[in-house]
Amino acid sequence: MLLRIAADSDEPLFAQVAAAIRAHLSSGEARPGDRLPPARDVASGLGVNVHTVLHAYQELRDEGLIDLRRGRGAVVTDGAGAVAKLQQDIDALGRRAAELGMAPATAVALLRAAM
Amino acid sequence: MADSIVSRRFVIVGIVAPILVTLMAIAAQLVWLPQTPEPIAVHWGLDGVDGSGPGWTYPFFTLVLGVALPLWLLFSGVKRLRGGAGGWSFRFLAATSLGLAVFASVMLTWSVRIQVGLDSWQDAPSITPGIVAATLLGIGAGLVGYLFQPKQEARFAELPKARIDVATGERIAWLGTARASKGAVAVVIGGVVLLLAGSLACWLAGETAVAWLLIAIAVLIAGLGLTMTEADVRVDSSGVEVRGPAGWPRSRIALNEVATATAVNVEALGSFGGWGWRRVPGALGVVLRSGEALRVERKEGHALVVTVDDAATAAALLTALASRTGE
Repeated sequence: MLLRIAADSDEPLFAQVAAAIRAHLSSGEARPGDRLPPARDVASGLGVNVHTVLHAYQELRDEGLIDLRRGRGAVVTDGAGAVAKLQQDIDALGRRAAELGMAPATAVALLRAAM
Repeated sequence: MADSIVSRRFVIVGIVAPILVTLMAIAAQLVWLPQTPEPIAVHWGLDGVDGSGPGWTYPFFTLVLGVALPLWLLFSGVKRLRGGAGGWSFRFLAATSLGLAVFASVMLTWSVRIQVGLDSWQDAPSITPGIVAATLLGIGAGLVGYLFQPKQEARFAELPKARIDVATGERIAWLGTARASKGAVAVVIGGVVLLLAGSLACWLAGETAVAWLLIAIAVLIAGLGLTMTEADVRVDSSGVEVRGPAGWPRSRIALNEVATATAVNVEALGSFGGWGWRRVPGALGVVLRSGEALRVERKEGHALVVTVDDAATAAALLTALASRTGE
């Protein structure tokens, strides 16, 4: 899986790592049951601390996208499949919001309110 | 086609020559067999001749030993060679095919020749000179066949390229896992289970020494088999690294050592002569299956090839990172 983190972001590093992995999960390349690489490998690949990656994995577990099991590492759940299905709609929504000149925070707040 | 000499000589050495040698040997045997005893001596032990069989045994086994490998090469090797695969093991397999045919032909024809005019198979003289002659001629023919073919570096058919643009200061990494097919894993596990069952049987039969030997072999195969089931591949700003389970074996190429990175198609048997971590001239292969693979060539020439899904992305990232540091 390809993980990328832009240089200019104000978000906490763990959230950026989580976003990079989430992007992989929503790309449809990952199938439920696939194992994600060990946190240690992701950490040395991206040049971040291993605890940052573990924090990101916990974040994704709380979102129901992966399971964290001792000895088996991080396993992609069925929930990740739903993310992949929704990705196109999200992309379209983001583009529309940008066209209308809406602030990202407003779009996120509206989406949250709608759920 | 620039490679026609490669495939032409592969066909001459690996298929045409062995079959010709085999047919000549069979012809000679058919000429001499009527003058030999029936049954004829077919087996020699340490103390001389100790087994007999019908005369047709000789031409039959000459045919089987002489044409089996050439036919296999004909039906699998030639097509793959012309399809863009290539490498040391094609050259080696063709030479082996010739060497084996010469060995079998000399050995078996010799056995027939020394029995011409004998009254009984029990009078057959020692076969040792025949073994020596067949071995030397077989190795010699194999060497000639090997040298007759052009030198081949491991070569692979390239797959379509991908492209990745890396922004300045961006953190970026590609992680993948090379996996063997479920069938291959099942074969390894089956082999280990069989060996363990065999060792248990030997143990119960009181053959403790054999039991221990079988256990040792089972452990060895399990260990080797483990390195053939999975390998982690990582491409990042430090270069590329391939690691077996438990971190061993391991191979890495630093980013400033990378000359080119491409996605290629690998024929496990054709290009590397099998599966696992394999060193062939010009490349180290981590070959867990046939198919898509990442090939990274060092500036000094030696390449690392690892069979992994999504290799095009890995190659594109490595290319982008290498050109970033090059600027």
